[in-house]
Amino acid sequence: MKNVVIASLLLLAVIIFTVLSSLHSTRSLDNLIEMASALSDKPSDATEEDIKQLENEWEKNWELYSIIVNFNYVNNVSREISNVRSGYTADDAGTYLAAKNALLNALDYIRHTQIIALDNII
Amino acid sequence: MYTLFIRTVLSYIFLVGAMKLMGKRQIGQLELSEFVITMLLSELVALPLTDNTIPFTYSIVPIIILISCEVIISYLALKSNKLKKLFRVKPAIIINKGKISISQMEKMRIGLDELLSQLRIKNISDISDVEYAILEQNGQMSVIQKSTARNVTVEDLDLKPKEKGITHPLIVDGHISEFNLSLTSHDTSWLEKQLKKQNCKTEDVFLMTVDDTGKVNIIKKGSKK
Repeated sequence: MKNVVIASLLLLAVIIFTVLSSLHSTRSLDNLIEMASALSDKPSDATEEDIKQLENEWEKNWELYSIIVNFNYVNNVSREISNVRSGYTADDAGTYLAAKNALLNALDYIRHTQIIALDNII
Repeated sequence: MYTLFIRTVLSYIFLVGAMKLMGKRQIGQLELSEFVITMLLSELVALPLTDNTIPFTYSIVPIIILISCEVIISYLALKSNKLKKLFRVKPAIIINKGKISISQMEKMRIGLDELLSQLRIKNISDISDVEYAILEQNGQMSVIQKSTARNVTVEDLDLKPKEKGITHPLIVDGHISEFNLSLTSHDTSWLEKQLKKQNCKTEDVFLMTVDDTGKVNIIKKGSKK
């Protein structure tokens, strides 16, 4: 009986962890995608505040992603955010736009294949 | 490298805990579902150990789900016959009242060679001596011989031997087992008295046992050989 209680509690904990982490990460990813999409296509039109906001949102949640998503995808997003910052600072339109698009792709990939993977279950 | 070390230690602790939660069973006694889970567990544990980019939760979460489901379903199956039928394999009666059931053999995919081999393992050379042969849930075969073929028992001889019960090791390599002593009706003063009779101290004893009839056996360290 003791084992059954422990097993039930563990199962409950796993269900709560799965649901909460999925909900939280999905909401946060949606925010990130919205912020990245809202960035202008030219570094000269982008503002420091927009990029800072993106970096802060990622900073707040990347540890959660590293628990539930393959590290390679987490590293990809970190790298592309860093590239967006470099492109903006150097006012390099090519680097900036390429990094912005790559960032959007990486976030979209996590959103659709790693976290909300209901359509990929089978 | 630290990650690998910590992950390996955690995996070991977690896996041992998980197997403990499943209960004490040897590999040969595992039921079908338990066997499948054991196989899956080894794969799941190896996953984050061989690839550092895979989060540790990818191993922990499925293991918890598998073990918990197994423990909960086993418990529910004990309480409900319907669930038992659904999740557990029924024992198959291969030989019933001395008659071989060919349909059961075909259903269980057991050939005659295999059946004879199982009987030989049980020291039965003649299939006509078998009253029942049952293939149990864990894959082992139980064989019950006909009363004319089985060994003579004490009951057959109409004898009434005294129950010896089990032998309790009270001192092992000079150390008193308080737990085993508590299982007998004796106490420490009785133990000391027994040692005094044999003229030896606790630390001189290699093994001291007592059975349920009160028979004491002491092997001193000097007489180990």
